[in-house]
Amino acid sequence: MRKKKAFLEKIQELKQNNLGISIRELSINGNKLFILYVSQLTDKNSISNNVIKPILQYSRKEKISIDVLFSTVLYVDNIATDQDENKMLDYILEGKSVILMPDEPHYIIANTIKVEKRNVDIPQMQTGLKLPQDSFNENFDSNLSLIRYRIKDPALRIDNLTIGKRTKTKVAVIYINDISNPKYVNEVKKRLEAISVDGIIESGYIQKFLLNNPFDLFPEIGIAERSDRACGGILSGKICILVEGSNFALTVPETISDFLDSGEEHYDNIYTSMFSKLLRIIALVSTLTLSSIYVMIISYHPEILPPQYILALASSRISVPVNSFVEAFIMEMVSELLREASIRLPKQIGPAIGIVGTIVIGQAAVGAGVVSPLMVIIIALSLLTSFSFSDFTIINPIRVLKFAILISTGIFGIFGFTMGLTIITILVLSTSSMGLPYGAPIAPFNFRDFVNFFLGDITLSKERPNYLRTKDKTRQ
Amino acid sequence: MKRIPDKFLCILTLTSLLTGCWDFQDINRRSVTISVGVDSVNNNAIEYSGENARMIPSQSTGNNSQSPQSSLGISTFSDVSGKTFEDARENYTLQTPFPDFLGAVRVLVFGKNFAQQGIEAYVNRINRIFGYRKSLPLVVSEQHPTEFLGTNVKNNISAGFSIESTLDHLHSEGTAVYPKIADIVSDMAFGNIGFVLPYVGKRNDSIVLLGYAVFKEEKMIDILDIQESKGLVYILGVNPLRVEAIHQPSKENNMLSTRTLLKKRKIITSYKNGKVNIEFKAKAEIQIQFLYNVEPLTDDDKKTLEDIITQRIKREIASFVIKSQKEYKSDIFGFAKYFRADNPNIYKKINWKDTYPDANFSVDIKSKVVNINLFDPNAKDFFKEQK
Repeated sequence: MRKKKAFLEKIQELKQNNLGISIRELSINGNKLFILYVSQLTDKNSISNNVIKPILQYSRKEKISIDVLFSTVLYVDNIATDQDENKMLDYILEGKSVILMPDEPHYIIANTIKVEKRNVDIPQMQTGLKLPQDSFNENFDSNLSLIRYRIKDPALRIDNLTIGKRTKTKVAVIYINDISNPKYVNEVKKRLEAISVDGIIESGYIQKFLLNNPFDLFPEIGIAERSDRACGGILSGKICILVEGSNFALTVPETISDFLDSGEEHYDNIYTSMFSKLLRIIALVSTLTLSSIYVMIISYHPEILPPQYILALASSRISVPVNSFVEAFIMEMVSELLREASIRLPKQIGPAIGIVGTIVIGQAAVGAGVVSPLMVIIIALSLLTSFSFSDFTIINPIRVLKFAILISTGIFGIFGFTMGLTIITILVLSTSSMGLPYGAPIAPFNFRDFVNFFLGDITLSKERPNYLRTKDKTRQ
Repeated sequence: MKRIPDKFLCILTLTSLLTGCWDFQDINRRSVTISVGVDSVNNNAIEYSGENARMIPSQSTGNNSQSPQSSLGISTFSDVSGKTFEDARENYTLQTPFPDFLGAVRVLVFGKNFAQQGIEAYVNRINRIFGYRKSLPLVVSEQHPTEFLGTNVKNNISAGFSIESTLDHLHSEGTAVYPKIADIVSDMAFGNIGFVLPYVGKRNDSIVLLGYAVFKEEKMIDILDIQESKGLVYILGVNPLRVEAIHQPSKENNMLSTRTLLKKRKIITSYKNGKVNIEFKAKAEIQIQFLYNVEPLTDDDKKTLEDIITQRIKREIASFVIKSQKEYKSDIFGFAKYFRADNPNIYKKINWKDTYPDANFSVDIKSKVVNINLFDPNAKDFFKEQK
């Protein structure tokens, strides 16, 4: 009788709290029965056909009860019972339907969730020519299914956590038990469990919580938009983290070499792979240094160029009113503005930015004599090279550092440039991801890992990366 | 973010204050010097001349104006003189709108007067002052530098560029000696030896290498004609090359075009019975490029050809070395460096300047035809049958 009172009180409370919970009251042979659900989160077909219809059609002589409903009446595939009336609200808010009878001490939780979701779509960020097109979306189950579909190993572990006191966001830590190093798995779980925040809206929150230090400059957590990238990481011995409501999976631990890998190299010719990696390394360095090198040469050390180039350079800048540092700084700012604008603009008017950029920077600025033609080439190259990475998170710190090194070069010349590069190198090498050195396999150097990274060929990579210290070291 | 140690920051700050990078100036705000000429004029005054890059912005006007144009040209400066280098320099600075940029200087031209009076002071100056490249070539000009650098050349944008390009090209071809300022400074620091500088002039608005100016004790003592100076190139040049036409031994009315490369050159020195012995060894690789008339080339022809070329090279080298011993009494080849390396103790005891003119010199050249270019080697049997 105490339970009966508690359940009725709970229903009354839910009605008063105006939580948007639908309460359907049924009467079967004089026995009252309540179905509680949030209509926006519930599959109406499922609740009508698999819950309400079989209950209303109940015509057996046997007295209806929760046990009878559970075992012989309801058609729902995912069903459970519970006694705790305090958990009832949580179940309902998750999108499940609660079926209770005031006379019974326990109630049924039927999974009739229906969340509005996108279909499995093509990737928007990590695109390629020869890559699988199934990207993650915001649906947790859908994302899990993509991983399960690719890795059918019984050792695949999916450890579920709920993070966020108010959002109660589901987070899955996915790894292969007999491959991944338990040190990293435990570290990830420890850091996730330590999160005490009201809500997780996107995997970016988790990414921030997993950092060693919130002021760390370089991304220590990789992102995977495509399931093949996430699964590749899991097979290498990494840990994948899926967050409900996010279309990006996270992979840890991550090194700087992983950011130079677009994934496409693994499916392509070995020479193409090497060439692409080399190109990306050049692109990384170019993005960081091109405008600084320009300032360094124009203002401080023109003698390092052959004389014909010196004359051509001097001639091209003759009408530019500002010094090379100011010129480079302004142009870099303009190019960053264009980039920012092109990201925020709706797709329909996005191409307009390209036209504005071309006219403003390419022609008008040179025509007005505000900048030299070479500066425009440098800025265009700098911008172009920054787009050659599949994981944009690595390029964001580089964009900031580009300005730091530019200022340093503008003040100190080649000395400032060298010092800037030295400090950046120190920063990179002193960073770690879950305790793994960020510079691996280059620093600390491991020849086999370095060759495997550079070649990116599955037939030659007989072993998993040594720096990940996996349990199972061999791939084939 | 990792904490950068305080000591590192201190080092960074101190070094940045000491680098002198504060005095920067954009390249378009500097006076880019292309060449510098130095000569001695009336009353031993120093006269500077040279070429500067001239960049003139010109705003196009009218309906067709799209962008400001800038043009690049070369302007010359002359009649900048003073009693000392400093005076002349000051006079030059007074007429220059921008600070000097010397990193693009292509060549330093000495006038004959100045070369005869001695170039040591000026070489020391450009060796020590900041801005000049250490790979700057030095030449002596036939004409007065003001005249030499002041006119247009037809095969390059300026005389300075043309001199450097010509010498660089001849040097890489193995037909010229191309000393840089670092080499001359090294020779001067070594002492007891002479050196040569290219002697250039203007012919039909083109820069021509006319020969070499011979320097003893940093003063020009003679000018060698280019035709007489082959022996010099064989010893001092990089990959010396000799191209000539020789009569085919078995067919006197036919000519062979040959190309001979001197390889594996060695200078061996020794000291016996109070005399310095210098031996120059080399292998001459002869390539026969073509025959004026296509005729069979026999093994005897090749053997005779090897002998002829060996003798010619030997003669050219020996005569030139003897000239340096007897006429110049100056070791312009730098044999002293080899002798000092081989016999350091004896070198300390002897006076090289006095010993060199009496040194025994021998040349050992081994020639071989390595490439006949014209014939199918399988045709050998055919010639044997003919014999």
